[in-house]
Amino acid sequence: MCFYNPLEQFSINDYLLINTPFYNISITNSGFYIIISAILMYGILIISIKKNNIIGDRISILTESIYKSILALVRANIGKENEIYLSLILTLFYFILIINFVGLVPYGFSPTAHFALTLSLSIMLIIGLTIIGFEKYKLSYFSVLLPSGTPLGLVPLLVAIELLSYIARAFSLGIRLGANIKKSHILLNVISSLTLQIISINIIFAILSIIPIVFLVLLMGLEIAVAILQAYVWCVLTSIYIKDSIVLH
Amino acid sequence: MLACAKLIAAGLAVLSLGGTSMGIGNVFSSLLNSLSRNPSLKGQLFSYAILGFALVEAMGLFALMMSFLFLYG
Repeated sequence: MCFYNPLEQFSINDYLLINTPFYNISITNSGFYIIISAILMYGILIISIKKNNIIGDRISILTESIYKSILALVRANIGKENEIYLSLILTLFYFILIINFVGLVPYGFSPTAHFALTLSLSIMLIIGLTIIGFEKYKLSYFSVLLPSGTPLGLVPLLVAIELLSYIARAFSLGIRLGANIKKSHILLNVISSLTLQIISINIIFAILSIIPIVFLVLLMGLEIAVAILQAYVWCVLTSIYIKDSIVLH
Repeated sequence: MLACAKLIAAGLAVLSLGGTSMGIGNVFSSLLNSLSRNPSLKGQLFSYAILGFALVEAMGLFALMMSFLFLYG
C-alpha cells in the first residue's frame, strides 16, 4: 500500500515484562490503558461524591444524570422489582464508556477495539446469566429454548434455531462493540493520512486541504457519538438478556 | 494478482452498505410516520429508534471492517 498501514495502531506491546513459569503476566499497553481508565472512573466518581454540598457542580450533575438515565433504562427493560441489577449495568456502562473515550485521545490505544476483551466480557455475561437462570428455575429453564404454543412437529427445528440464537447472542454482543471501535479508529487513521498526503503535494493543495480537515473534525464528533452510543446499546442489550433469563415466558 | 483480488474483494464487501442505508432509512421513516400519528410518544419512540439505528448500523460496520481487513490486513 502507498501509505502507512492503519492496522499497525492495534499492535500490543509490552510495557513491563513479567514472566512467571506458569503464565505471562506482563503489563501490555492494553492492560496499561485499562488501568488508566479504571483510575479515571474511580476518580470521577469519588470527586463527584466527596463534596457534601447541596447544589452539585458540573461533575456531580454529570454522574447523577448518567445514574438517572441508566436507572430509567433498567426500570424499563428489566422491571421495577429487579433493580438489583442496576450496579452491574452501571459498572458496565462506565467501563465501556471511559475505555472508548480514553482510546479517542490521539496516539492513544483503545482496548475495546480488540475482540479479545469484548468477546470475553460478553461470553462471561451470557454464561453468568445462564447460571442465574438455572439456579432460579432448575431444569425448567430449558423452556427458554421453546416458545409457548408451538405445534409438535416444529419442536426439534425450533429448539435447534433457538439454541443457535441463544449462543449467537454472546458473539454478536462482543463483535458489535469491537467492530465499531476498530472501524472508527481505522477510518480516522485512513482519512488523516490521506490529508497529510494532499498537504505535501504543493501549496495550492495545502490550502485546499482545509476541506478534508473540516471533514475530519466532523468525523471525530461522530466517533464520540459512536463511543457513547455503543456503551448505551451494550447496556440495553444486556438488560434485555437479563430480562430473558430471569423472567420465563 | 493477489493484491488485485484483494482490491476487488474490498470493493465487493462495501456493496452491502446499500442494504444498511435502506435499513437506516426504514428506521427513521417509521419514526416520522409514527410521530406524525401520535406526537406525544416522542421521547420513548426516539430512544427505540436510536437503538434500532445502532443495531442496523453495526451490520453495515461489519461489512466496512471486512473491507478494511481486505485492504490492509
